[in-house]
Amino acid sequence: METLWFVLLVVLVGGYVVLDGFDFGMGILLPWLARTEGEKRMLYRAIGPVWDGNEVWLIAGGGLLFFAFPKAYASAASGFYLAIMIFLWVLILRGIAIEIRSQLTHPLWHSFWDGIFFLASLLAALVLGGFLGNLVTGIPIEESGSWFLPLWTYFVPSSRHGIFDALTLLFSLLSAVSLGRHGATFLIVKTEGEFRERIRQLALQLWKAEVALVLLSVVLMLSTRHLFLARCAHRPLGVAFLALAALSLPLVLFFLRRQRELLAFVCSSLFLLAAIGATAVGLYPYLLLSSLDRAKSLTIFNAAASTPTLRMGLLWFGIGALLILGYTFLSYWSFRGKVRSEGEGY
Amino acid sequence: MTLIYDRLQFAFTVSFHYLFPQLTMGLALFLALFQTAAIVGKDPLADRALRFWSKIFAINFVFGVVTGIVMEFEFGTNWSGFSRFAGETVGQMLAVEGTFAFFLESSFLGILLFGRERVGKGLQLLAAWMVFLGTWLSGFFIIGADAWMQHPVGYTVGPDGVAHPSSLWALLFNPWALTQYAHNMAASVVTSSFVVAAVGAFYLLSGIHREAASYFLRRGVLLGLLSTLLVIFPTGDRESQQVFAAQPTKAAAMEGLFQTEKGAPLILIGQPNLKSESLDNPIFVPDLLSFLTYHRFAADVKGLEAFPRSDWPDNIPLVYYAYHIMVGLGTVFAAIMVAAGVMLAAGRLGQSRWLLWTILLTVPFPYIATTAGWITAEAGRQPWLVYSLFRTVHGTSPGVNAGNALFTFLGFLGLYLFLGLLFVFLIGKRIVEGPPGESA
Ligand code: HDD
Ligand code: HEM
Ligand code: HEM
Repeated sequence: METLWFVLLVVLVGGYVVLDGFDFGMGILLPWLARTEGEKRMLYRAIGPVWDGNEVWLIAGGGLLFFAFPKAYASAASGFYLAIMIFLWVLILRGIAIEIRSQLTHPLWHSFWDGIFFLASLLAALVLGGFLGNLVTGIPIEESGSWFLPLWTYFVPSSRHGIFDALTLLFSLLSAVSLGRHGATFLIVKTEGEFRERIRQLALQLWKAEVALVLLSVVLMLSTRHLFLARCAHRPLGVAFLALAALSLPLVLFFLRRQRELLAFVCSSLFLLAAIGATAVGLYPYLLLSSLDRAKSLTIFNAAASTPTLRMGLLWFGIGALLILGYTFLSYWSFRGKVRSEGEGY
Repeated sequence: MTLIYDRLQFAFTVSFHYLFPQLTMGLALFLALFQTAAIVGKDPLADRALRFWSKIFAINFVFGVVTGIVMEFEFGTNWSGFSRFAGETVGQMLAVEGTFAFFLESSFLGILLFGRERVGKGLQLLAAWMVFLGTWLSGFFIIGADAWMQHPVGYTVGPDGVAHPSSLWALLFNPWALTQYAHNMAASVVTSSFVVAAVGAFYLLSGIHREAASYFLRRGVLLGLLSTLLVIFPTGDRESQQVFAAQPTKAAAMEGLFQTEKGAPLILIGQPNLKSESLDNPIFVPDLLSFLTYHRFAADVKGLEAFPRSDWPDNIPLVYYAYHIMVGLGTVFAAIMVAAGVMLAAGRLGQSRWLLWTILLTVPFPYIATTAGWITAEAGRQPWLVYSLFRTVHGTSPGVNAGNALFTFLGFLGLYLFLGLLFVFLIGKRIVEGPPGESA
């Protein structure tokens, strides 16, 4: 039962990263991609009608964590206090920027919100990567079970690091580059002509940087003999996810070169999902790994809600999940096709 | 110290958040009605109203969305003790809300706002009602979560010290939640009615957009009349009876009642004096409180002295004033809407400038009344986080120190000040631009 809820949680988080990931990616690329107001508007229109729905995956994921693993939710949210608050502020500014930018036509107004949108998206991607890094490297959970991480200490990776140290910063960087590339892959689907070609070139560039960073982090994890990769490699499902990740990343390049935009986007999403899946398998059954004393870690068993409650939850979540898939499909289907720069909205 | 900052931060962020959803929920009803009149009734005025108000709705909605996520995570960041205790109950309600309400809202809102040229009439109509359903469902679930904290039902506290729900239905259909929901939704229609009517009044007074203005004014006054009455009776009445029945300490604080009295008076004005434990300068109607709560003039109403001091709400004057502000304003709203309704029926509302001015200037007050209502409910619940089950002091996060809590509280103050100014500026601009497609 706990395992099932863990899987559902991973699915929601994965959905969030894939969907909101391209929103962040678009924000990160905005200053490099769009030259004219028309181009900018096309980029905003590509995500305009869907970003809020994408963010709901985060809300649902947070709600699910709160409900199914209350102790992990309490522990993680209070321990990462500062990073979470900053993430919330950044999300506030991001959402406001998208919706408010088109309300005035003054060029300075546009530049201001473009800047906010860029910074907010970049910061969001960095913080997300930092969370991932901390999940993988572990957290100093004390004897008492409580912990609190400062944002950074000396940037030296150790068992008592801050949220950002050299290693987790690598994950942050990887996250920013990956999501940027993912965003570009999405935008190619939504645009056409010369503009599309320019986005494609950028995606190809970013792909190289991404691969370099992936390799670097794998080598680092191997050289520190980190338990996470070893565990992942010992589990069939983990091997499958690693293989899927290793396969889908080159395929992104292949399809980008071949101009098969939809397939490239699918592979890009698969890559992100596989990476998250592999992380989850590597961690399982840990939710929060203690870097001080393995026995103090929170696992899906000692952090879960009681079994009758979890069973109660399946009842409504089963129905809810079907509805969610239905709405998501309807919404993307209503806004399918290429975006244009004239007409109403954003 | 941390506790104070945690409480201030939660109170501030949630009160700020609620400024937006109350208009969202009320306006969603207006939009669904406009859309129906436009598509089914083929009324071009309704279509213009829909286009105008959906722009305002969109701005309001995004402010509600971005400020809402904050509290979802604040339960964990600042109230981790509470989250451990209430994850299976309150956390479950939040998860249900995310799953059933927010996906619905956000998916159909996109279609409602940008679907004009892309999807058919049928889907547009469906989208309007689905947005309405989504916003009202989200209100229902979140109030269910709050109601469990006001009046916990359907749970057992296990040896692990955690509240385990015994059934989902008990959580969803908590009798407290149903009363609170009815009152709260009526109140959100009050807010939106005043907003819609006031924009109409503003145009009429300025002598512009006459046609649309009369349309807004008429719709606003009709729903306003209905909702201002509903908010008092039966819903407000039921709310206070429920509080007297189940939360006697809150009830006594609301009424400023220190001593238990037979034939308790209804206090209209007066200042609670915590030193002498009585009201200064009271103006009251004898016996009325007893009658209102128990429908008998001589009934006993328990005062605060009947309870140990450690169970008294820690800010009695705040609860007392908040409650009196809400009730006082509620009476004024009903009076204004009844007057406007009478004039409307007589066909003279458009000419009575003083009434139009009154409606226009009343716009901020429903917001004040709803905030005051929430302060009554939440500050009156103290010192409990879950009434008579879990104390607020045990709810905080042990790892978060005062310095960090103050830092984020100040951060929210600054950020929200900026957001507030932005919102007023943008809405003001929209209103000045006026409804689409008319030559004044
Ligand atoms: C336009 C706003 C408005 C108006 C005019 C009123 N209320 Fe109200 N009231 C609310 C808006 C509100 C609210 C914001 O919606 C609250 C806060 C919590 C809730 O669920 O509803 C609320 C709560 C609330 C509570 C506290 C419930 C609790 O502790 O859980 C009581 C006892 C009343 N109301 C009673 C009344 C009465 C007797 C009114 C008669 C005039 C009245 N309200 C008018
Ligand atoms: C939107 C309307 C709401 C407003 C304006 C509001 C207002 C407040 C205020 C003023 C406080 C501080 C009380 C004090 O410390 O004296 C508070 C506390 C709190 N409220 Fe609410 N509230 C609202 C809705 C909710 C809902 C729906 C929930 C639950 C799901 C909730 C949960 C809490 C919690 C956990 C605290 C902190 C602990 C405490 O001080 O009791 N509130 N709220
Ligand atoms: C602690 C209390 C609360 C939490 C955690 C909370 C959470 C949220 C979240 C996460 C959103 C964004 C949804 C999206 O992205 O679509 C939101 C919006 C919304 N909330 Fe709240 N909320 C709280 C209090 C309330 C209350 C008391 C009500 C009404 C009774 C309410 C009604 C709404 C509505 C209607 C929306 C839709 C969009 C809008 O804000 O205009 N919320 N809330």
